[in-house]
Amino acid sequence: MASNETQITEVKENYAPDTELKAERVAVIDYKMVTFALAGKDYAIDIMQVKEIAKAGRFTYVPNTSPFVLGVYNLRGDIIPIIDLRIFFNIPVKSRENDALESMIIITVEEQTFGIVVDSIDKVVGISRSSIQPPHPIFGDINIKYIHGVVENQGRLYILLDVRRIFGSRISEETKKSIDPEDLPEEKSAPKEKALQLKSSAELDISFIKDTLPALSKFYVSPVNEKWVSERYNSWRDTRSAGEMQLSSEDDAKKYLETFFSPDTGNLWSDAYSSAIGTLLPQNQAKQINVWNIGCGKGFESYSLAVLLKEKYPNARIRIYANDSDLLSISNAPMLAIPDSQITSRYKPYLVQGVGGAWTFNQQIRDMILFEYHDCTHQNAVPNMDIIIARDVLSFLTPEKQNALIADFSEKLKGNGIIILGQNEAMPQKSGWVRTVQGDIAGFGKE
Amino acid sequence: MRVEYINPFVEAAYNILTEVLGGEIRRGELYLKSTSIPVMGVAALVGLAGDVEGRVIFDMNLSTAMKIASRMNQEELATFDELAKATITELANLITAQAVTKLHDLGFRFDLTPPALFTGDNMEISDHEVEALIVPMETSQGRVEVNVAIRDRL
Repeated sequence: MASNETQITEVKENYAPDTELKAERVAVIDYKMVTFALAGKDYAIDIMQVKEIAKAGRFTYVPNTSPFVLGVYNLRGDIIPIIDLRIFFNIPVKSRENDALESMIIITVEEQTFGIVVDSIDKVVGISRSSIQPPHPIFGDINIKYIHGVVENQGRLYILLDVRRIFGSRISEETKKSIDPEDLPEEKSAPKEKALQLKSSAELDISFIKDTLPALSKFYVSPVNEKWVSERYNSWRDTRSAGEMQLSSEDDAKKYLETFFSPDTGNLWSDAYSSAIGTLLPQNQAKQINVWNIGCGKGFESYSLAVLLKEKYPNARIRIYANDSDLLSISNAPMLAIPDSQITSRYKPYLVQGVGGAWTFNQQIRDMILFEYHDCTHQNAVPNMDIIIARDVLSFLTPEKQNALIADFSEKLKGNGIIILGQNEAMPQKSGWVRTVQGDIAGFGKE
Repeated sequence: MRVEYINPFVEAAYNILTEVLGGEIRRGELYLKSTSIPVMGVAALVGLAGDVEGRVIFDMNLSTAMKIASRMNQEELATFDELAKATITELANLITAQAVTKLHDLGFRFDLTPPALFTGDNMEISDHEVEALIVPMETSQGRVEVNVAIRDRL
């Protein structure tokens, strides 16, 4: 590579004058950072991780790498991968002229050196370590776990990036595979394929969303709900402007999850939904039918189930074991008062009016249900079950707990039993479960 | 644990402790625990049978037990002697009995066993396959945990 095309500046020569100025104003400077701009926002990286700063033009394109890897660069004999942080964080990039000089920060993470292309490099700023504040989800267009903190200096707000998190093991594995000096192609920048780039940025977005959902709303993405999360991304994209695909607040996460919840959550089941569930349930001549209702919340689900089952299996003794680990919700369930708006002709025959005019279910229905304050990830001491209803429960457990609970289901469910999960949940494929579908509701049985 | 059983225990603990200790009694947040529970130093255990099977444990550390026993006897006790032990046992009896009475009024029939008192360091009480409800009570003599593990006779 011709050396007259590049200019290299040593960072260390720059920072001495800055610190002298600041010493008058700041009490203690024990942290220095290199600041730069990305899509109009100010970012910074700990200077201890920055090896040098360079301006470079042509990188050698390496095929078959992620879109944010622009290629490799010869840094005085060292071949290092060059990463475009703008593409990595999915910030819109204006298309690059092939020969334009890009600003580049050379950093070292876990003994691997990288170059990072940014919009422009500003200066070195010295600050006091105690003035670094932890990040608030609101600050980032980019995934919050990559932000080490936020710090203010001379009226400007810098977002401090945690390069170890960004470039640790994961990326160094990828780029180590793709760089082999003998295989370097000719020095030509290959044209980027727009279509390919769009697909990958969607994948990046989805994977960032999968990372932020647990933190913001305790929703864990796993084979149980993966399909829905990916499909939801398509409708989500239409409602958000270009730079705002990410979930940066609890509100965002709530909006994303809006379409997840099963029908009639928190209400008595509608006639249509009840008959749909009813057709899914198998014929059963047994004298006793055991039902496990997990995550029953305030109890609307359990009562709807009781009425449905009484009508479907009129000759059987039905026992519904209703659990929830939210004490406040379930503590009122045995005496649940049904609001007037929900008293339909379906449920009216089973309701009685008590003191003060409140409508509750009659004794016969209430005797069918055993409400328990219980955490289903603890030992489950229930008898073997004919029917398990666990709507929107698995998705709010960590993946290990999800698997443990599914194993519990397998143990407790009778051979001809059926499990109904949330509308947008499904048992992981090839895990011993058979799926039956009626209309748009699915039930699962054991193989 | 069945929802209807929770309130009687919480109310009984609050009522008896207020009556017997005077001072301010504050209830902490209830939670569920599934693993074996290390004992704080002194534990009074009352067995329950009838419509349910299980037990209630009143757990506290030694200095809290001494202060409570002293308060209940209206005299300063220096060592955790027979009198002190009998006092803590009696406290356990009072709370459990009131809870069972409340439950009786709700239609549930429980029997109690006489309490057993455990004292020692580094002890653990484990129940096989039973989840426990913990009701922490903060008193001016210290923290008392009411640990209820009962399940319906299936």
